Amino acid sequence: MRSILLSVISMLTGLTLYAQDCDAILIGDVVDFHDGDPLVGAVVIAIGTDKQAVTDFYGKFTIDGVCNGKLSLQVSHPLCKTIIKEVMIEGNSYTEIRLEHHLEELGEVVVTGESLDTETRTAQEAVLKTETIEKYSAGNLGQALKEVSGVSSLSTGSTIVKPVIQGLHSSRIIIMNNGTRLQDQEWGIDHAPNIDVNTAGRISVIKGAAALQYGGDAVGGTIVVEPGRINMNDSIYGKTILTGASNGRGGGLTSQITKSYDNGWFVNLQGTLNRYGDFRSPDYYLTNTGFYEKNFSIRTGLNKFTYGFSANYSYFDNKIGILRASHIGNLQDLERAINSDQPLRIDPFSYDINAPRQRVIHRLFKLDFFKRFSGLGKLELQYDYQQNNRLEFDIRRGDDSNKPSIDLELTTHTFMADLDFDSGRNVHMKTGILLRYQENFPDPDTGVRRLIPDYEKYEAGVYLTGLWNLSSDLLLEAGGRYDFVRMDALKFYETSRWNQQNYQSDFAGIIIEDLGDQLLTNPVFDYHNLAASAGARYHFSNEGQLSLNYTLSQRAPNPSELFSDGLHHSNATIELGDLRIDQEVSHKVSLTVEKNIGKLSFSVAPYLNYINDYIFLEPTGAEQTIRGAFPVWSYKQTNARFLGVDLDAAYSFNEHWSLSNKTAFLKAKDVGQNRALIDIPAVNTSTTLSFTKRSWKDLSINLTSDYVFRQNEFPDNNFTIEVIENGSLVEKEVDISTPPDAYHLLGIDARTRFELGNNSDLTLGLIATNLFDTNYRDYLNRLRYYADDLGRNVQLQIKFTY
Amino acid sequence: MKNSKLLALMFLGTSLFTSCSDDDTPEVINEEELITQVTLDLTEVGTGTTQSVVWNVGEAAPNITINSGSSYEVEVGFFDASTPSDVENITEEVIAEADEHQVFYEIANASLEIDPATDDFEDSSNNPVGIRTVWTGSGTTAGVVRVYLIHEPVSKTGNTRGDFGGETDVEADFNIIIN
Repeated sequence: MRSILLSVISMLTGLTLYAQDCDAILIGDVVDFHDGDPLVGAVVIAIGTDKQAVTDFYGKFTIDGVCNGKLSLQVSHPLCKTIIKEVMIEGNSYTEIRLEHHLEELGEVVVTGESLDTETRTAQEAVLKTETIEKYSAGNLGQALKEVSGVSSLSTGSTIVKPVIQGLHSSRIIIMNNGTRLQDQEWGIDHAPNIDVNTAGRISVIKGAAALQYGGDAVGGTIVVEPGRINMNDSIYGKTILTGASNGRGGGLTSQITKSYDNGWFVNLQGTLNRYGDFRSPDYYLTNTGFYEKNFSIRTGLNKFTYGFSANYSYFDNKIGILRASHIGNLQDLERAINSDQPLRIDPFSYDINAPRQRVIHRLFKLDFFKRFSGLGKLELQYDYQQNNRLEFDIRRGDDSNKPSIDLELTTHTFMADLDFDSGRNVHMKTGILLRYQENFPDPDTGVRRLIPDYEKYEAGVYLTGLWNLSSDLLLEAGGRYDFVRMDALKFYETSRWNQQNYQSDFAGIIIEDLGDQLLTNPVFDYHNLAASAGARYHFSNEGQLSLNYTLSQRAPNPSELFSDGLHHSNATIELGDLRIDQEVSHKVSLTVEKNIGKLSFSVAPYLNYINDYIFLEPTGAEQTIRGAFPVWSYKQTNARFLGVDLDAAYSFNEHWSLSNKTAFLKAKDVGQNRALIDIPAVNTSTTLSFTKRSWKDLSINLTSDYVFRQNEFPDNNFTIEVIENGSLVEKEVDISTPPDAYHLLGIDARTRFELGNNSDLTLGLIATNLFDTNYRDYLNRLRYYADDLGRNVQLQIKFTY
Repeated sequence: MKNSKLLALMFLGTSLFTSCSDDDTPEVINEEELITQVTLDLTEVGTGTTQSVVWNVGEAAPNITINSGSSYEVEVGFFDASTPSDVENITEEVIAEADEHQVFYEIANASLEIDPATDDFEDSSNNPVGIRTVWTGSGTTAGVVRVYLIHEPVSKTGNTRGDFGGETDVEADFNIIIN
């Protein structure tokens, strides 16, 4: 083993040393100076020779037959300043060329012609750059992602924010964090992604499952969070961002520093501290909504052109208070909360985080290695270990008041090997395998019956994707993936529940122990998931292109959908999973038309996602408890149709003023029952007027108007309760279905940069949201029954780069 | 050289990590802080006649029959009877944490008056907790008494359930018949 490895490595590490005087090959990358994005279509001319090359979709170019010694390159790109760069040719050589991208200020979100280094070529996709991400430095990933059209959020207050892509969320979204799939109990509606937004250098959002290299079950989409690029030269650099916010009387501090060496070694350290007290809606404090987050990460490794490796460790620790008034005992409490204009409990401002609260610790350790084989491609090997510990503290009585009600520890090991055949000019293939083992341990010390049982999950996957440049105008993409998933659980059922669910007839064989009032069972389920994607992109003119994509994906049910069994306090519902639930199958067709017409650029992206056996929660009856009658919500399957369109447009009046808009429109329907689906984002539109002037200390000002319409299509899940009023029993309807009214929010952000010399910059930013302190509630905020959303928030941000 | 070691380590690490899972059978959990039983002990003032009414979760509301014009001293009890051989008295906890609890009664369709008893337990602000009350019925009516145990009430006094705020820990109905 060792000798083979040694010989493979020694064979590959030495750069080819035998070049003759004038038959060296120069390969290189042309990238955006700001964020390292590859630039496609850059022209590289070797001055003084007749040789030139154009960069491909990956920003790569090759010039062969160059002579040893100094060579001057003229590099030009339609969107960039042309530069001349000198390179030293010593045999076959590599160079990276960075171009200043002029259109940087056009929009935060990539609109047209810029979406170059995307994860797929034909699916709907958008990219958030560092500058945009930094605005949310003291916030969270879910908030940052709302910058993308078609992405909304499902939240529990303002600190637990889950991304929703074209109406789908939770287990239907894959989040890739620095090359690893985040395993953070994403199934829960009140489980936000455990990721520090400050580790991201860029974030890509793929709407749909087309990015098959990451998984085949991303029915909603894939979010790829990548760290900032490491320089390949001898340097030390970093940045620190300090944010202070008026709402919540808190803020954040984040800092990172990178040391890199000429020989490719690097080390990067990063840390974040965010602390807030109770947030405030326009009229009152939102008691117990503070949060406290402490994260750090370290990355080190060696980065050569032909090979490299890195080791990463990150630690994420988050403590989040949940609105005190949202903890209710029964339906009558819920009815009172809904019909009250104000939360039923408002205390003075405090930094204390009491029950109900969550504490989540996520640890990630990753090792990866890559090797380029000339003429073949790049091999990547990766192992990652993730440990996610989630504690949820309820309001409990007596000795148990400091004990968590939920204590889940999810441990995941993943090994991946990918081979990227990127040497071909017009064909690019990628293949890989994945092996994953996951174990969930719910600590019985909580004294509360387990919400998610003990389980072991095994996954094995294999994929192949390909890209063909048929001509300079036409590109085809196709891929397939197969994943095997085995879920092996040990779960206790109350005998009464077991019988009520009618499991005895179908699952009698899985009982391993009968304890009288409880049964210990061992459900083992195997799933075979197939995914396939095919698409085409056509440049119909210099300024326009059209992409069409079809993706099939299958998703196995998550532990919550299979095994949930208990009371959900903030909803006053009993939620029941079902062992009979099977995979859901999505067929998605998307079309993207992008076009530049003079100063106007726009993108129109309609889609249809038809999901067979879509898994969802719906009320199925009532159950009598000591607290009164509770509605029972059960996981069921139906066929669902999601039909929508995402629109992006930008118009630049001149070099200083521009106007941009993004709009998302979605209609979703439960086709099986011919009714509306719950929790579907309403039509929303966001318009930004921007002013930028480089000569005024890089001043940029954005005025943003967000309008969210009322969701008029919703299922009626209301129920009635009997309350005693003025000495008689009366029936009252608990209206949990009707969405809140439309709302309009105005925000402004301004930013200016001062050069301090020595490559140091100081950027001052002012970000104000909900400028007019508007009272509003959002349909997709689960705390909308209890309190208004956030009032005005003014943040001052100081960024120091060095 | 370095890389080969690293690679070897990586594979070793993978196999080490994945080979140490345990197959222990999980421990059974019997929830302890449940309330599954509400009792009302009534003593008729004057005659000293007593009656006990027990409601267990899942059962229909039990009947209480009282004499019109009489007063009754009533004591409420909350129990965890999920393990019949080991019934736990939660009332003691409620009394010990009187500041965080309140017992409240609502009456529908019956001419019944419920007042705090002079020997009721009190919280640190001398508010009666509502464990001991005096019930007085009049006329010939039948209706419902709804017993609430409220956790962390916003107010310790009030005339309707809404006045108290807090979360409902117990909501139990008893049918009351006044003859």
